[in-house]
Parts: sequence; C-alpha cells; structure tokens
Amino acid sequence: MSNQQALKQKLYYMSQRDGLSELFTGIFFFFYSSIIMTLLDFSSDAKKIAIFTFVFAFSGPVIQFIRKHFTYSHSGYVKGKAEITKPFLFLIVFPIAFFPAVIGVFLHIFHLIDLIGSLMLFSPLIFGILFFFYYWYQYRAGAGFFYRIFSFVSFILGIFLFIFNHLLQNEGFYVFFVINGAVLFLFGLFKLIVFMKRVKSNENE
Amino acid sequence: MSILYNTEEVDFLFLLNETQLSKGNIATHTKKLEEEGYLTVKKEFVGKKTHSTYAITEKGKKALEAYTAAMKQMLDEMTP
Repeated sequence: MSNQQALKQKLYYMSQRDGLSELFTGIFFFFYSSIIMTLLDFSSDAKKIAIFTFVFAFSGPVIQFIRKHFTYSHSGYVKGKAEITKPFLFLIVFPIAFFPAVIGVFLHIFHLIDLIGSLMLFSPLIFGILFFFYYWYQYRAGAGFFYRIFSFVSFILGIFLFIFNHLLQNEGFYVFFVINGAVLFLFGLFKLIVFMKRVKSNENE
Repeated sequence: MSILYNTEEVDFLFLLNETQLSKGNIATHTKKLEEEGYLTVKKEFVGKKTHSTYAITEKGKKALEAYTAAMKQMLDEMTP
C-alpha cells in the first residue's frame, strides 16, 4: 500500500471518529425498511416514513454542521474523502436505494404479486451480498476494522435469514435492516461516547 | 498539502494537531499557498470564534502531483 493511500485511509478514519455517520445510517436503515413494509402493507404512513427516510438519506450537511460546531470543535475538524467509484455506485448503492421503487412499481402499477413474492423470498440474500460489498468498501476506504467484521457478519446474516425467511413470512429483509440499523446505531453511539470522553480528557490535560 | 490532498476540507486546529507546527507557521504557510491559488480558505463563526476551513484547489492538486513526480524522478536517478 502506498503512503498516499495509507494517509488517505487514516484521514478518512479520523473524519469518522465521532460515530455520527453510523448513528445516522442506523436510523436511516430503520426508516428504509419501514418504507418497504408500508409499500407491501398499503399503509397510509408511507408518505411520512418516506419523508423521514429522504431527510436521513441527505443528512450529510447536518452531520458536517454538528461536527464543525460540536463534536470536532475542540479536536480539529476534518472531512474525509471516500471516492465513490462507478462500480460501487451502480452495483451497490443504486440496487439498495431503488429496491422500494422496484417493489412499488411491480406491486402497484403492474400488479406482479408473484414476482414480488420471489423478490421478497430472495431479498435477505440479495441484501446480504450487497451489504457485504457496502461494508467492505467502507473498510477499504479506511472506516476501520469493525467494517470488515460487519461485511462478513451481514453476509452470513443474509444467508441465515434467507434460509428461515418462510418462518418470518418473507419479511427477512425487514429483520436484516433492523439488525443492521441497530448494530450501526449502537456502534455509532459507542464511538461517540468514547470520542467525547477522549476529547474531554485531552481538554483537562 | 498532503493532508489537504487526501481530504475534502480540514480546519486550522486539525492542521495544528497533525503537523505539530506552530500557529504562526501554519498561518504563514496557508496564507502563501492561498495567494498562489493552491488552496481556498473559508472563514466562518463557530460560536464567538473564527473558524477557518481549508481545501485544496485543482491547481494545488496538480502542483503537488508535479512536485511528487519530480521528487520521485530525482530519487530514482540517485539510486544506483
């Protein structure tokens, strides 16, 4: 690994120390899975959840504001650079992002209920693979060793939920997102507490 | 410049901690680099304090790449 690459990874890691990205991503996953659920249940709450999901999907400026004014204000602010490559964007981000849209179109416009059933059956496996690469990309960008663990665990979780999907009435994808969301949220919270403690102890010194 | 090259933006305090240089030294360096168009400085208020954020420009990126390439070539030529 070149020095530039190592420096880039270190700086990206430093920009993610406060755990805010994980906190917001964790919350986003909760709302995101709820969108798919409401689409399937024809619930009237879909609009409200869609707005919340949209807000959290574009929470980047909010996170940067909090970092500048609160979390990084005493330790030095850095915004890391994680270049989003085209394969990552088209093969990982877009399939995850447009999954509810695909369900919505197939279900409400074309009324392809059988196709939706098959999609739901395989969805934990699909998400398991997509999340493996999503976390792996984060790990390679320098987000930390935990992301390497997340990538393998989410892949295994995907397989596990796919096998037992019939017991979950084909709602394995929901469990998948809830577990991922909860883990990321708790991990973010842990990172935030540790980071703020370290900042305070440095200030006291 | 290497830090700026590998980030989107950093503030003064971060540069201070990472480079271990003095405040005056960083201020002088960044001012000269800004005058040459190698970086941009964004000043805003965080509470009652001024907060300076630095980001590298395209001109700065090219200059750093040219510099590192020249250094690499020089080192290669020196190696027997």
